[in-house]
Amino acid sequence: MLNSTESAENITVYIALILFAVIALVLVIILLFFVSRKKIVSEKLEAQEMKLKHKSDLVRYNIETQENERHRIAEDLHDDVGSQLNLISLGLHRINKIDSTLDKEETEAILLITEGVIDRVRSLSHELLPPILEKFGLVAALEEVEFNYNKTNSIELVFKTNIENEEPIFDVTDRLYLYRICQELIQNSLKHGKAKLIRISLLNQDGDVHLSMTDDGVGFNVDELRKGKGMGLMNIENRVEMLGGTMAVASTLHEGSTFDIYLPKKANREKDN
Amino acid sequence: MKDHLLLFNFVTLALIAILGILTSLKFKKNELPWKIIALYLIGSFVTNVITYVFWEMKWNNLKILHIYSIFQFVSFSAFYWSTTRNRTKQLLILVFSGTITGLLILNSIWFESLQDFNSMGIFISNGTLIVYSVAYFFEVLGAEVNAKKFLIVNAGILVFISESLVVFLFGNFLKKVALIDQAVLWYTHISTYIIFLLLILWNHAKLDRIR
Repeated sequence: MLNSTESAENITVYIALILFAVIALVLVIILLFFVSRKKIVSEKLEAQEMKLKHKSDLVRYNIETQENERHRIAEDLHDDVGSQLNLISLGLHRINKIDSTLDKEETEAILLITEGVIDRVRSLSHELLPPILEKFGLVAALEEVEFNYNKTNSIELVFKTNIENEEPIFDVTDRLYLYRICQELIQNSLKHGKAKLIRISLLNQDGDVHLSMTDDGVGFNVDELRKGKGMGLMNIENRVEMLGGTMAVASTLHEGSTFDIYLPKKANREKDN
Repeated sequence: MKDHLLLFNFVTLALIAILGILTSLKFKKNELPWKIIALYLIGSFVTNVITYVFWEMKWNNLKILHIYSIFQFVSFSAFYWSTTRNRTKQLLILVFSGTITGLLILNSIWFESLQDFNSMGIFISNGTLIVYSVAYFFEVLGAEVNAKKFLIVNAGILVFISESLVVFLFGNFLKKVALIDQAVLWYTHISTYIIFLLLILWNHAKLDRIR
């Protein structure tokens, strides 16, 4: 044994120095790793956010373009095509009365077809932009939706509201977007959820708005839906976002789904926008 | 000094026992890497107790180090094998670790005596583990959150394994030096091991919070 000789002590000191140098080096490597990781993760997050923002902007642009187009087509159908068809119909009526040489049965048949086309054009124009929404507001438009669906007897749609005067709560865009959200939610419930009962409630809670839609459909996995977000849900989320609101989704397989949309007071929404 | 080292050893033993129990709770439900860590801790606890008994009985306990270094290498290799889902990496770890385990056994039988430190064996096995550990860091650098679950444990392994590599590389030289002169090295070794165990505890607690 070397005992505590100077050389043994010196060598042990060197070993200790090597040891501490190695530990220090490892700690530096670990520190460098964590710093780089933080940077990489934040860059990745930034890129992801940019991608999401771009997607969201694209959807917003689509929504706005879609609305403008719907508006234009509905107006063209109603004012232009509809009026001209009415003129044709009136002309046919007139000719039918004054010209006795014409085959009455044939002109009656043409008149019937013309009136059918007029009805179809009118209903198409209404579907694209319900006049009731512009004239009487969202509550009336949703009551009409309730009436039309219940008329078919294939599903039951229950609409409830405590709103009597819409003016202080919604502006034109709010009404249109909320109407479209309800349309999309009903379509999804029927198409994907195979629902037989849909409940919609539109409540004024001291100026805040709570729109809720519940169905008894097949339900879905909320996480999976969020991961593979389709255009429908994205449209709804974007409309809610454009209104300055938030949305909560809950669903239980084979029991149904609930969508809760909350909009802050109109004044606050205008301030945020 | 002997008393201080003993006290340190008891603290380490208590920590291993606590961690062993913590990681063994809900063993079946735990993910494979945690199961491997639990088994490693149980093995470490048993080895530490046997080493202590050998020391008390004044028997040469270096043959236990030979067995323990193989056990540690296999455990950590299995840990890194279980943390990656990449089949090629798993196969590489399997081939490398299998070969090195074989070499470690041959080394203990024919080359480095059971009465001495297996410095070369530890150098090769710990060197391999350092490569695995650094590779793990690179793998999770930009990976999804899920892959980063064992970052703290990995940092602990890297520090402990690197430190062990240096200490045991000079093990046979240290046998010739008085205990008092090598104290700083063994204190550092035990301290690094305690830090490694505390990092496992931290990682485990962090994971529990996520659950």
